[in-house]
Amino acid sequence: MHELSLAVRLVALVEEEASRAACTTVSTVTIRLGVLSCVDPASLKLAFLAARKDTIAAAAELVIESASAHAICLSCQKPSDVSQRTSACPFCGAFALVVSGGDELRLVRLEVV
Amino acid sequence: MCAICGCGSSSPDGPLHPHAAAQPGSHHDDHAPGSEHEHVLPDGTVLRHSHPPSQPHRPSRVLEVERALLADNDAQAARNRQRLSSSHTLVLNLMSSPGAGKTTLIEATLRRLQGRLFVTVIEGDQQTSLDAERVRRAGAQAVQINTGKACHLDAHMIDRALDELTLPSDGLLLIENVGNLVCPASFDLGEHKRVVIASVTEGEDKPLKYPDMFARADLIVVSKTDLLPHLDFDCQRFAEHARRIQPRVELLFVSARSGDHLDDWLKWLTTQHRSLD
Repeated sequence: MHELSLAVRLVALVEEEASRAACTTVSTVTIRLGVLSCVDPASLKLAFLAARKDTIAAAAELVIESASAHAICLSCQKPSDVSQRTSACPFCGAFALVVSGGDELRLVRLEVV
Repeated sequence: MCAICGCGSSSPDGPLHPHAAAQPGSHHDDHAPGSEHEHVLPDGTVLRHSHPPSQPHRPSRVLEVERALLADNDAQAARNRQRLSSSHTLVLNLMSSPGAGKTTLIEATLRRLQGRLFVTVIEGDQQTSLDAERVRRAGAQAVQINTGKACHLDAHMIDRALDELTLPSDGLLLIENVGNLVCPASFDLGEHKRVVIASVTEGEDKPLKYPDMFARADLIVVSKTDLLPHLDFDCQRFAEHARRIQPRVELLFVSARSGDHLDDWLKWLTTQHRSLD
């Protein structure tokens, strides 16, 4: 979708945090991306390469941690983890999953020098 | 926290702290100031960095941050919702692909609600004010937002549009998002409910093809049902597909043109408006 604007926003957050911590270089930027968020990880990585240019994160690596989504089946009541919104229940096969979480999009950690 | 030893020292100006890292290959190795150099961590990870000669070498450290990337938008959306709730205005975010009939549904809604509920419309399109002109002709106060190259509305755009409007209390604000089944799904505008519109000409598989959008809908309106006699569209199959994504989602099948089942839509609207109390 709008990976470039998200990458620009991410780099702005990184700059804010890095300036608050008075560091000189950011070596790693770690984000947590829900498996059901509307973001394509490969596109975000590519956009990050453009957005980090001429910033304190110019040489930073982007690490993407994946966050799972949980579901309860309305048919068999069993909980499961899902990776797609179109999944069927892995236990009973019903397309009756009520999904929660999995849409996170957070900056979680910076490694700085 | 020091990323090497995890000792908790986070002062950037603090002295280098001696620890087991005073071994060859550690991050406390000597190196030429200013040059790019490597540090090999105990787990084998290689870190490369450089710093000016004027600055002492510092070990890298880890900052735990935890900030949502869309936090700015979400905070503005919460302020919008608060502002509109306090004037008892029901806000709906209408989303669909281009041409699904959002503006036509709004026009039909305006005609039916005339004299019953004051309706204001915010129109989002990349260019032109054609839609705002259409709904003004149908009797509503309207503001057009042109997003230029952007593919969705965001909460800050709505905040600016609200400043241009005089909202009477106890009304209805319809936000017609940019026609797009992808990007608008991620942006809270401050609405009370999200309505996704899909026309019968788009096919029964739309919910499966664009699950992120349909997963966030409070109501799905299937539009242009007056065309059903000319199509192979199966309403039941569409509903099954929508419920695969959201088992409890509410669906309405309407035609703004013929007026078929528009009363169901108006009933839903007034129920939502009443539930603001």
